[in-house]
Amino acid sequence: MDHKIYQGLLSLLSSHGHIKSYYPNDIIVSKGDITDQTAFLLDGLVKVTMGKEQNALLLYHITDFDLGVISFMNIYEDTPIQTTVIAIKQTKLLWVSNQILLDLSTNNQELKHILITSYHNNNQHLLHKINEILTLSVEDRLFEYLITKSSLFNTKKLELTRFEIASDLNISKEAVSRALKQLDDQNRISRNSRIIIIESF
Amino acid sequence: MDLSLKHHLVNFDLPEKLIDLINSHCIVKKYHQKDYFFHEGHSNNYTTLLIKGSLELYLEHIDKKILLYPLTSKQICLISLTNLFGGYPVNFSSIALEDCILLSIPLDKVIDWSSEFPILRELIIKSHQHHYSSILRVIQSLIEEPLENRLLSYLKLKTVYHNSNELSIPHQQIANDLNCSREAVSRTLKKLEKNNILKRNIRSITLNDEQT
Repeated sequence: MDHKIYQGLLSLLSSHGHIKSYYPNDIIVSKGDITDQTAFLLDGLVKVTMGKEQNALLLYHITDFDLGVISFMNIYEDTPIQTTVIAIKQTKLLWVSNQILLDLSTNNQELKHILITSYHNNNQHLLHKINEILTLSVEDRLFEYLITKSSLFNTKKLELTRFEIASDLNISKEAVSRALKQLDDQNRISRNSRIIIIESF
Repeated sequence: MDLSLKHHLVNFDLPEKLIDLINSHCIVKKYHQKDYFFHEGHSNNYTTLLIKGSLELYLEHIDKKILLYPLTSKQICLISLTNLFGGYPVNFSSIALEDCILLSIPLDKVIDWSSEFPILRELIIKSHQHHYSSILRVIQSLIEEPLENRLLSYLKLKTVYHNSNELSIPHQQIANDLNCSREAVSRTLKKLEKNNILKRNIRSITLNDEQT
């Protein structure tokens, strides 16, 4: 991914942190874990969910666009992590300790900006999520989910299992099937064996 | 210069210079207890801070409002919650639980001052963290907890705000706050009464002492 704008910052952080690689479906951190670090997404894609296991409500994704920051919202104290973060694609993270980040950011505008923006974005994602849960019907939630996946993978043809969709939306597999049928009937999607094709926005 | 404003800000251990800067650039809004007001969904140009009092935050949806969580000024809470995902703003409103003072500061000034005064940056980050935890808790209770538990938590919280075991809140309002039907609220209250958790009166609900 193109990090040219953050080249300088990346070099600075790399010298203070360590890089770790993850396979798709690897659990990066679990709810309840304690960490005093923040991770920077160098390559790949992760999702942030509510629960301890694979089976929990999807909150939002973090992409490597613009040096994605995976902050656990605990930069001043080591409180347990409140979410579970799972790799979706092959992913590379740069882990840096929070103490070092706080020290470095006193004199580094870019770093300060990136950290505050990530906190702000995390909350924006959560607000969007809560609005979705409170105000959208199941099939509209499913459609939004499909649109999100479609833009993350840059394709209108999605190969997703019922299990994965049910887990991410925190609904039953039957509800998924029902909602898919509704979207199909409304011509918002079409289906071809295991593949879902988005027809219209 | 508003002396009482300065007095409130001093309570938060802010440097004198920062207080003077805030004083000369901010817009002050005061609300009385029980005032109901909107947060401007579009103004990304200001950061709003709650420096005195406490309020309940609501999500606005068409013709009803849904209770999210309370905010207090104990650590200056950032309450600018604009959300422009999908091209449409999510609207928030609040009801003041006690008299409140809100400060709106131009965003560019906040950015400059956060650089110069680490304490401001710390306050903002801690506010973000508080919001994050709070929203997560709400989402969690929405998807995991049965209405009985959500209703009881809600009632307990209300007894703290109103400093009384007896609550006169219409069932419809409870239903709106919890995003369920009025019938569900009535049903659940009946169930809770059966389990000796509370007593339903003609126009109010009384929580039993063990609950508070």
